[in-house]
Amino acid sequence: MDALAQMFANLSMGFGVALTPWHLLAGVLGVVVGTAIGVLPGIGPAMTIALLLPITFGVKPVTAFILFGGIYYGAMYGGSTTSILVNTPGETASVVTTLDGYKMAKKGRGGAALATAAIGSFVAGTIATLGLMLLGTQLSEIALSFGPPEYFAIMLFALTVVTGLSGDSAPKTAFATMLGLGISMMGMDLQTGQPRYTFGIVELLGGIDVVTAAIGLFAICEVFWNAATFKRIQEEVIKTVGTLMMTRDEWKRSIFPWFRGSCLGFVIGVLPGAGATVATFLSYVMEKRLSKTPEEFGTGAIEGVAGPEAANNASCGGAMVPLLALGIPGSGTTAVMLAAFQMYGLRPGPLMFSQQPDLIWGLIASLYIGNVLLLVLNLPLIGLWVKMLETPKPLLFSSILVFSALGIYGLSGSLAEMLALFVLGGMAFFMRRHGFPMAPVVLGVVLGPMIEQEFRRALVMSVGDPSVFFTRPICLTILLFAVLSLLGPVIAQMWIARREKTAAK
Amino acid sequence: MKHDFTLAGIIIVFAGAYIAGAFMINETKTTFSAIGPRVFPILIGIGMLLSGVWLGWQTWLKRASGHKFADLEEIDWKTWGATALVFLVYIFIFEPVGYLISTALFLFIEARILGSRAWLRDALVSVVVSVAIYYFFNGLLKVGLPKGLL
Repeated sequence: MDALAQMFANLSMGFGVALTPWHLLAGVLGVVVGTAIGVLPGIGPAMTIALLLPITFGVKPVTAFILFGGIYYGAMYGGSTTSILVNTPGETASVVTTLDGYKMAKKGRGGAALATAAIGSFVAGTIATLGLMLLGTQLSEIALSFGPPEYFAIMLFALTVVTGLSGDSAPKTAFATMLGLGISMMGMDLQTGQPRYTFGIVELLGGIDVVTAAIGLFAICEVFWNAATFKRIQEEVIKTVGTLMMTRDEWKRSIFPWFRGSCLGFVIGVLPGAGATVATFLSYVMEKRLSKTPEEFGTGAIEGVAGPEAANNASCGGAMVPLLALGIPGSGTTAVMLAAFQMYGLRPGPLMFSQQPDLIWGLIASLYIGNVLLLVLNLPLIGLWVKMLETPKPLLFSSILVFSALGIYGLSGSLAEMLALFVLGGMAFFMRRHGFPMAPVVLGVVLGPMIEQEFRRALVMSVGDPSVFFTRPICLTILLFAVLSLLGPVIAQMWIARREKTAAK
Repeated sequence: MKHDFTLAGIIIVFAGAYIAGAFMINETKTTFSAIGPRVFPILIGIGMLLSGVWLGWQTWLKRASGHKFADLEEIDWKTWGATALVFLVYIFIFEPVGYLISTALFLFIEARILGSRAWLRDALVSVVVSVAIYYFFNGLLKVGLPKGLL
């Protein structure tokens, strides 16, 4: 009971922080920008936050993270709009919504689809933020007893989960992660001062900046990709949405998917490395399995919108749990947020909960507020968001390139860094062409130095004895989970393939 | 996807190069940490190698079971090439020519490359956006942008 009271005290303090005019403004700006980029296909929260990393120099940490949190939640709200009305996902996480959402819109139930998405997102956001509050504090308490071996194990777990959950492209995801780690090794080794992979070039002594990597891999690559694959065919935009009211039947069919989606999304989000996309796919599959009318899925089943939309919002809150409580990203976007923390010289984790409660609780409070704002913004202003879709793409993408270059210039003032940006973007483009995911690379770049440091610290602690990883119970458990997350899906696939073979015989 | 086998080969070669690069790192005798600067890079290189082998194995299995390999997405090389080139030029002329002129020019030209045909609107927007960003960076973030020819 005492802990609960403490939590409410902290939350009240958080609201005090979040409700100051300046922070409220940041929050509003965050959710508006978030929704806007969610609506615009091709631009996502990870890219946007990466592009905004340079601003962290002029802005206080609390303000910046309130902004980023708003963008993160907002993007999930906005993504559903284009999925439902244009059959084009605004976010990769919104792909699933196109399956039934667009069909609903074509049948004239577009308004209901939008409503169920928005309300579901609100329910999910609230539940997830609640979960963040509860689980975050609990986890940070447990993490106080964590030492380098445990942190190393969790980061390794994050990387194996990303690979394990990537399905068919697991080996490519594995390489992407390794590449990210490899890139992070470039530069001067902080512990020994030895240059690594600098090829004698002085500018490389500082290594590749995380921001350059994030912007290059998310923004430049995306624009290059759009330039290369510009689809000339326009999907039919459904302009008349009809009423936004849902029928009683639609309400009834949405409620359970909302709650199921929220819980599933939150749990998936908490898993380090797994994010919104996985959550939405799993939610869709779950709703289809549990539905009494599975054949309706794909033609306009409202559960197919309600569940996944709740899941993707909940996964954002979930992803913030490992980020804030342990300092380990739960998704591609939170990996960029971690980069932001690093730029401020902050290390999220249990210490931050005790030393910078105003940041943590201010952020949590602003997420509650932002959630309400998003519900209010999204439904009445639907017309506005649809108008946004008419923004001329050429100018939009050109501006992204400009913003990217300027951001890097602003941070480094160097031509070399801008060239690195270009090279990384180009490399990412070719990788993407061949089916390699980008988020794990950024994850690797962000986590690389941290993992190595914890690895070294663990071995210094144990005076060179490697068994330290296997004799500490928590560490060992996490390592076992890591191995499981990597081998599990592979074995499952082989097992399923074998079953199919014997069934076919 | 097509070319996966070749990719696996490239990855393995790259991994080899990475590990070789790790051995080029100087290890002085005065390191007090138990782990020198080479250890992690070598581990990462091994990880890359394993992922390459994994990809090769997966592709081989798919081939053996008659899996149809997806074609790569169609790429408009002209548009991409033009974009990349113009962006590169933008980066190089940024400092000498100055922020405002290069940016306005870039926005206009790049929009055209990406398919826009509304000359006047684009020209106006290019200038307005450039100026707006200038105030944003200069005023709000206190970041200096090169004056160049102005």
